[in-house]
Amino acid sequence: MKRALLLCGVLALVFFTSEGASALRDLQEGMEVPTFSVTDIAGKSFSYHELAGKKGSLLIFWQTTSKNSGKALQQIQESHVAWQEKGLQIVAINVEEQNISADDLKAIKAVADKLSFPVYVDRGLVVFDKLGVIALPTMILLDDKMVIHKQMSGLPLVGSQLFWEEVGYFLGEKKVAVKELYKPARAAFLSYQMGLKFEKQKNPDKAVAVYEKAAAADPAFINPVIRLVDLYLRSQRVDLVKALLAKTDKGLDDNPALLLCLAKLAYHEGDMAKAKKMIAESLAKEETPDAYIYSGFISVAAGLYPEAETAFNHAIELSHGSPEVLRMIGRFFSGKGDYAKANVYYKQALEEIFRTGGR
Amino acid sequence: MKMKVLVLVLLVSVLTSGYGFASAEDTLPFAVKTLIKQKNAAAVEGEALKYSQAGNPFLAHLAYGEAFLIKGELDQADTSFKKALELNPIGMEGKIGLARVLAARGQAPQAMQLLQEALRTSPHPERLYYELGLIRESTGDIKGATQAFEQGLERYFSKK
Repeated sequence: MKRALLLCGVLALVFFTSEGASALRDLQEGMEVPTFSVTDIAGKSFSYHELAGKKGSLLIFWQTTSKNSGKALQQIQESHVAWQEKGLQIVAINVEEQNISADDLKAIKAVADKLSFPVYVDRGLVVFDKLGVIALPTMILLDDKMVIHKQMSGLPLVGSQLFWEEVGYFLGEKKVAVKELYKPARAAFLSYQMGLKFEKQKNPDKAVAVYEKAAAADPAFINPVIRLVDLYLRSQRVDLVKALLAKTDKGLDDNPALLLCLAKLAYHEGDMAKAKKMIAESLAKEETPDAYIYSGFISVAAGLYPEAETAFNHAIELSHGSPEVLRMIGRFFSGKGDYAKANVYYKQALEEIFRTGGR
Repeated sequence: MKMKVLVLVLLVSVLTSGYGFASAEDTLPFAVKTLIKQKNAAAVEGEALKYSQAGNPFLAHLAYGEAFLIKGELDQADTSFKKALELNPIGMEGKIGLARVLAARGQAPQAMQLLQEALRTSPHPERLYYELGLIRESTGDIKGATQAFEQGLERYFSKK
């Protein structure tokens, strides 16, 4: 169930703004984070309450195997002294695995030893699920009331710079320029929400109808476009995808989710060179399981099996072994008639379901 | 009337628990299944002993069955799984165990038939499809295994 919600969040990329994606499944800026507690490497507990009331806190969710996590930690390390002097608490929360092994702890400690801010471990991925983190790394800037001031997932080239600037403004640095955050038109947002409900009720036709309404009501709103692309492709309607993407707001050209949609279109049209280029651009801005899955599909099409496997492994790691992700990869190989390969992923998907209590 | 039903339900539950009946939901925890996957017979036997001492004969028989299966002692495994099945005739775990013993004896068609029969009544067919897929895979029916795994996943996701 947790994995389903995670993938739902990953694939739907809820609350996408024109600058990037929302980092959390259910929480938005302006909302208070729920209480949580984590432990340090030695097992000592640390809780939400130790941050509440402080000027501000920066939470970073990370994993040793996520290359952008390392980059993000490094960037924070470079600024943390100045930030801490201005009253910012920095808390790095590792979300390595559901069950942390001795080897995991060793790898986490190796990273933590190079940092001068505290590193905690989310054993059982409780906080990861509670806050609804959908990609790694995820940074959350909280105010004294533990309300989300700003959040960011992945490490988008442009978005991350804006995020670090926002941390500075939050701490009182002079604002150079204020960029208005995009908010979707209300009618578009409501239709989009209705579409998600229809999809949950397994009614794709109704979902498509309301997503189309949402996309028409606000062409700059990327979320319904993402869902429509997937639903159209599921029914092999490449023509509809093409028409939809041609109408998308030009301001979204740099959006990683739109780049992924364009990559999917190119892939289904058989234009692998374009698909590869679009995926690379999307991944450079944001790493998502969906983008890595398509990167794998494209590599298989080019006969580059080791590259494909690496991409699929990234998708699986980023989604924490989500059965949905494993099933998607299995389906792909099954569709290609490579049943032995399909079985590898299908078995992993079922084993993950059993492991997490779904029998 | 409501009170009578409540008393009856309580009575049945007390009686069945007292006699060591297991429910259709009982299964070995994932940690033990991991030991089974690792073919660590001694550790699985240790878990079986713990279940036995804790008064859970159903899980004890299941775990002993698995330990015997790892060691290749198929007759004893068969006996243990049959005992587990006696304690929980509606559950699938005993049947899965027996199917795996049949498969280990080279009787894959019989093993698959047993799983197919269990599939007709089980509220949790994912595990049965998974085991069916494994047996098909072991017989070289790779495409058949894919179909079984796909059915298992389909059943799981359609419930969500």
